[in-house]
Amino acid sequence: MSPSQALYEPYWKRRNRSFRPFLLPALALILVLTVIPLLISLAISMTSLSYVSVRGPRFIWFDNYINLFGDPRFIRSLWQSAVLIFGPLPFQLLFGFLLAVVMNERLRGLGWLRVIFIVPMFFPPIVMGLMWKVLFTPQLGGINYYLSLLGISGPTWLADPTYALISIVIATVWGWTPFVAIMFYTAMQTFPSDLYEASRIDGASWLQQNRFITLPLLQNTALVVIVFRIMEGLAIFPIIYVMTAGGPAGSTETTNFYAFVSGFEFLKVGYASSIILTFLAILLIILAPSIRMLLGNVQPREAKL
Amino acid sequence: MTRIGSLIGATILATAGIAGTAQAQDFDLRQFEGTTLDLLYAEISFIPGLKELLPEFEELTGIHVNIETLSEAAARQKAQIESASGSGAFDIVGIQSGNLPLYVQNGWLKPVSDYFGNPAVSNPDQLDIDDFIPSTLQGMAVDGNQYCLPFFAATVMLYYQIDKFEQAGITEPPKTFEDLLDVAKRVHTPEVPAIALRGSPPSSAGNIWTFNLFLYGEGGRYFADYPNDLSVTVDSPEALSALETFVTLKRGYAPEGSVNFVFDDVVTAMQQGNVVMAIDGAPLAGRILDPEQSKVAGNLGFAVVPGGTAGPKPSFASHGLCISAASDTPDAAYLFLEWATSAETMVKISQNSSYLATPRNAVWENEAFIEKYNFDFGGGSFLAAYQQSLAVAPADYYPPIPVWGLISDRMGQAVQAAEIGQQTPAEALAAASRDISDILKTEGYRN
Repeated sequence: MSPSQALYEPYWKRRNRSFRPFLLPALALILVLTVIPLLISLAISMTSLSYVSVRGPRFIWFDNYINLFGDPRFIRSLWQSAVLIFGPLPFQLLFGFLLAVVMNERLRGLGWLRVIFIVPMFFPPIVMGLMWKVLFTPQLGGINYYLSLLGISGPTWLADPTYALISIVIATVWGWTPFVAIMFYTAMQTFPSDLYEASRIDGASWLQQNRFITLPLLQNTALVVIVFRIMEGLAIFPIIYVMTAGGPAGSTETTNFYAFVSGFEFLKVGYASSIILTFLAILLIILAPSIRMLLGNVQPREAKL
Repeated sequence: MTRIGSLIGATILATAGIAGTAQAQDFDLRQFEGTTLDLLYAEISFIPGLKELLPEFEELTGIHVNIETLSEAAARQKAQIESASGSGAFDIVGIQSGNLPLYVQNGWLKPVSDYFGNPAVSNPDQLDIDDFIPSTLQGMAVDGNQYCLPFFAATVMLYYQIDKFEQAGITEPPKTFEDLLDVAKRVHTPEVPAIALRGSPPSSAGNIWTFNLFLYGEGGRYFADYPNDLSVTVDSPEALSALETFVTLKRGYAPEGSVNFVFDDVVTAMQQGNVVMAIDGAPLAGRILDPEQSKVAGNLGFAVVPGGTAGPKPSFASHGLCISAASDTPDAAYLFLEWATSAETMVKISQNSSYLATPRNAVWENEAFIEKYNFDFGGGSFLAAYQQSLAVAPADYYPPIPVWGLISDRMGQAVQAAEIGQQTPAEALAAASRDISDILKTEGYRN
């Protein structure tokens, strides 16, 4: 058995079980930091705990969950979450790929360009949100000023339900494209150069090389990027908080934002817990296949080639 | 106490200073030496001035006070969460009158009235409870218990640029909503829109603060007869007429995208002369007139807000300092509250900062106060307009119901939806009325 095979053999198949005690610290951490809080949330979500109610908290089983699906605000928040999670994704992948291709070229002066490309990554989301809020506010010039130079009368971005969503998508694309680009770029650095040399000898153009070598080799990385972007997209909060606070008229309120408002603003703690746990469940269902694919793909590279 | 009486009282306090208070109180000021008190509130005027005076209090009593300030919404959320968890992280929290019922229902506060007349910590001359404007005390009391001591009397007024009015041939500020629409039509230009009004956030911290004055001005209400009959009445003809006026102003005569205007944006628009009129907090005049930043200083008129069939109903909130039930040093906290909300301290803060929203008659009548704040640029006296507004502002501007946060959010969403044209005013109000009924049922206020 080669060392790499031993490493990737599932733990339940191994004969030597002496590794078990060494798992305890990690398991204890997961228990304290993840499992127990989750169980407490689950328990709270089955109560009517609400500080604005005249009734004391009662155990109500799944009533909160049943009520959720009759709550138009919750349904709308799911849709808006989907737009804000999946809307930016194709653009981030496309622009990230293009940036990575440019970064990967051996061109003069690219050193500092690479730095400029990833500048948005240095912005904390709050600052990013403030910056885009300023750019999208008509009184402060920004985007509508440049549109007006082109003879276009810009919309009142953050004051219109559709454009407010688009504004947040734009800000998110701007903010996280560099992450995608870096993931792609570092993956490209590991691609074997002989593939490119051989293809050049066969007369492949630059476009063909990217289409038939780079893109297929990037599949795994793209999967990782997509899963990461979806998981981070779920946590989209500071940008919304700063740019629109969920408005106007609730049109940019995502499910996690609704849970926040229900819990911290309205003090309906039981209901807020059921919102966030339902959201978590829906996401796990969506993400499960891609995570399984990812784990399935963790194999020594030589096994694939 | 009568006005004259309080005037005399204030004069004695001001002249005699600490010596005067020392005579009247017969307890040991330094009994809590070494104690630390933590206070949480929004960064509104009074608080910065109070911070500056803390060394004075520490010298007097040996009590150290930490003040943590956040934005209004963040401070409210944090105070609620800390209170609900009973952490005792804050001995003193600031609260707005609309938020008090929630605190009382959950037992998060120790009433300050528990200490009234307690010779161990209270000095009746310093407390001088009758000197507070009654509506400000009333907003901080429930069922005969005084929960907080007010430090801020918030109301709104109509601000306008005097020269813009003159150019349009308008001789006096609008008194009715009809007048207001008419004036807006006459002064509005795309470059300098007619009026700035709050649009966000959709709650009592945002558009509901302004919208309610239209609602009440037209004679509308939230409930048929609070607290006896909680039938929701926000879809009444009066409410519809109020929302139509509000939407007409915001869609036709306000800056672009002003559905996102929080109070800061309203103040800035007026301060920069980017609008002809604004309706917002009277205490903000200090900022609008700040000679360093303002382009309208010397050109600003002040008036009581217009009204409808029910007359003018300016927004009103009393802000108070309260003792957290989880505090382990409530006595020291009370000592601080009495000092912080005394006429003497308020006069000092009005001088060391732009604080003028005082709930104390003695301060309103203080000569230095009047000299500093009695702006008049030919459009009438600022202080007079402020006092007239306070006199007609309803003390129960927000219905005293613990679930008000949810109700005001739902109503705020409806106002925004109508403003951006997502729904007609009638549709928005009908939906809000249904949902508010549901909220009351879910939370057990009604069958």
